[in-house]
Amino acid sequence: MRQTPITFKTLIMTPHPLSHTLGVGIGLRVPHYDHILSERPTAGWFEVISENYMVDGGRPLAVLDWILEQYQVVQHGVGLYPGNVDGLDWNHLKRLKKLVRLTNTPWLSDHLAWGSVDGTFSHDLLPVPYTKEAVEKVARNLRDAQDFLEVPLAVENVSSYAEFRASEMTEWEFLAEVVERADVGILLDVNNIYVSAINHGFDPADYVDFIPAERVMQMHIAGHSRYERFIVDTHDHPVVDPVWELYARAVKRCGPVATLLEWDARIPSFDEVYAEAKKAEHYWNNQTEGRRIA
Amino acid sequence: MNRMSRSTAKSASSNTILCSEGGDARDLAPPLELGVPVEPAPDLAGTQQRMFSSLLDPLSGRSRAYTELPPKDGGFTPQFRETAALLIRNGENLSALEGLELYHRQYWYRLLDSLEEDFPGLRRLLGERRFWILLESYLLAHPSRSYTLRHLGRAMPQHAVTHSCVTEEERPWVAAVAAIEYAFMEAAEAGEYRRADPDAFLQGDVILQPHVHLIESPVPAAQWLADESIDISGLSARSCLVAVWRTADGDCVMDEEDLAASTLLDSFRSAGSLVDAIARADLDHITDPSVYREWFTRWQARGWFGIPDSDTL
Repeated sequence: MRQTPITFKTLIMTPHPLSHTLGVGIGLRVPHYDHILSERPTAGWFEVISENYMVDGGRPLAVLDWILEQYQVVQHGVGLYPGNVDGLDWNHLKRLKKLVRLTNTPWLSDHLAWGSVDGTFSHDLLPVPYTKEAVEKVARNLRDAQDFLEVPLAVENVSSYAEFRASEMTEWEFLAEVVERADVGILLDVNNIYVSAINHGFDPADYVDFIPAERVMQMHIAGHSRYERFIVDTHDHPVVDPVWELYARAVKRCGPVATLLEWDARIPSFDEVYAEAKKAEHYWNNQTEGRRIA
Repeated sequence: MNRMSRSTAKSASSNTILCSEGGDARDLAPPLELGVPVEPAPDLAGTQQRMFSSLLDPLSGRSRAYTELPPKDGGFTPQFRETAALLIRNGENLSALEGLELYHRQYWYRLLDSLEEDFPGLRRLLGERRFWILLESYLLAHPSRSYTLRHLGRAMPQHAVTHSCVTEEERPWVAAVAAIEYAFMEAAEAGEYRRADPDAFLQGDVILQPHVHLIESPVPAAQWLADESIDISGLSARSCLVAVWRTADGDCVMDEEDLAASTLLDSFRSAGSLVDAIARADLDHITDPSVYREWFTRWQARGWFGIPDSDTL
């Protein structure tokens, strides 16, 4: 008999303790493998990109096995594509579920994006038009995925470089509507909000102030590259002050939820990356009472 | 034995990549005015079909100039401009065309970077100009059909060997080098059975590990790949069997194997005993037991055999 799916509402009723106690983590990246294996550094937790470990064998899985014995791991995906109008790739979900069982991840996140058409892949996280039609399709995909995976799902806002003519609402209204209908959580990427705000000319505070705080299970912070007229989400720099300020605003609304620093290119030493991530704790000082819902 | 572990480090991340080589700021072309579209914006399916089709268009203009691809006349096609105008709003900081251009270049830069990383031998063999011509034609003919970029080069051996930029002399080399380089990727992520001990060969149910890949070639491609100082014109054609496999510490390596062992190794693709495998391999012409002893000693030391249905990973 199939078990009752673990949904976000279940999570709200019996809050997952890790969402507010996990603290600061960093992404598990190949250049840090040797350091982690030999030094066993202090780290709150590691986020792993699911697709890097959806393999039959080899060094990544061997490293993951070792990491799982020492650290808490949270899965983060780049290939669910709930925005795909074609629907979900069930073979992908089966592989993902196998990994979920291996890692025992407390929740699983992926992006509010689409990325493939008719089985051909862009390997990018493409934004969806913010329409009522898209709300229904994305929410159904997320609901189906959470139901199948039997683990709480959190969806991440992506950075974007294009606003669709078809959009009927703001991105934050779209996100709020989708997570409510799908009954999933939010992985709030504060850097992505800032990047899109600059690129599209909206006030990032409006975004942070609007999202349903009680659904925020995790946050991302990252660096980016600023060009003359726009910003590109490159994850190859320290976090800039305006993003920290936005993070402080988000923490004030959502509480000190599990926070992860993303650093994916020109990756410095493990210690440098972790020190940058730990700066997040500075903004938690007045939030020890836990989640605050506006 | 040649150690090459380049393919094992490929990994996905959730950032966007706009620089194929990294480092320098690459701004877009100045904002361009687009006419007001007369058509209503399409539904979700139409939006995704149309935008995706634009991503697959060949790179042009400044986006192309930042790559190693050969120069090409002309900027955006009328269809590309129409798609931008139809789907995307002109914003304060990014025009509709710039927005689509950013996603377009991200698609190409990411996939070109991936293939560049996967086929360094092919690059050395063909030289810069022809290598990038080949990569562009490959991506146009074989866009990604997998959730992971690790599989992007799957059809490269078949594509490269027939490409017009490859000379007749180079074809067997191109086919073998591309096959060996893709085998590294396959070896890196393949499963592994629990290693077989000597008794298992007598009891039956021994199988070649899934990460062991065997490539037959009419030219000594492994020898050429292992020594960057050699030109293919300095090597005589000879039939070779190249093995690519994963070691116990996770590195992927290659070595030439005795060509006569090919059928025997292939026979271990199906589980069976040593006696069964030798019978299937039809090796009556090899009667010297020391040959078999040498082979199996080497293969066992490399961990090439496992017990089926004992997945250890």
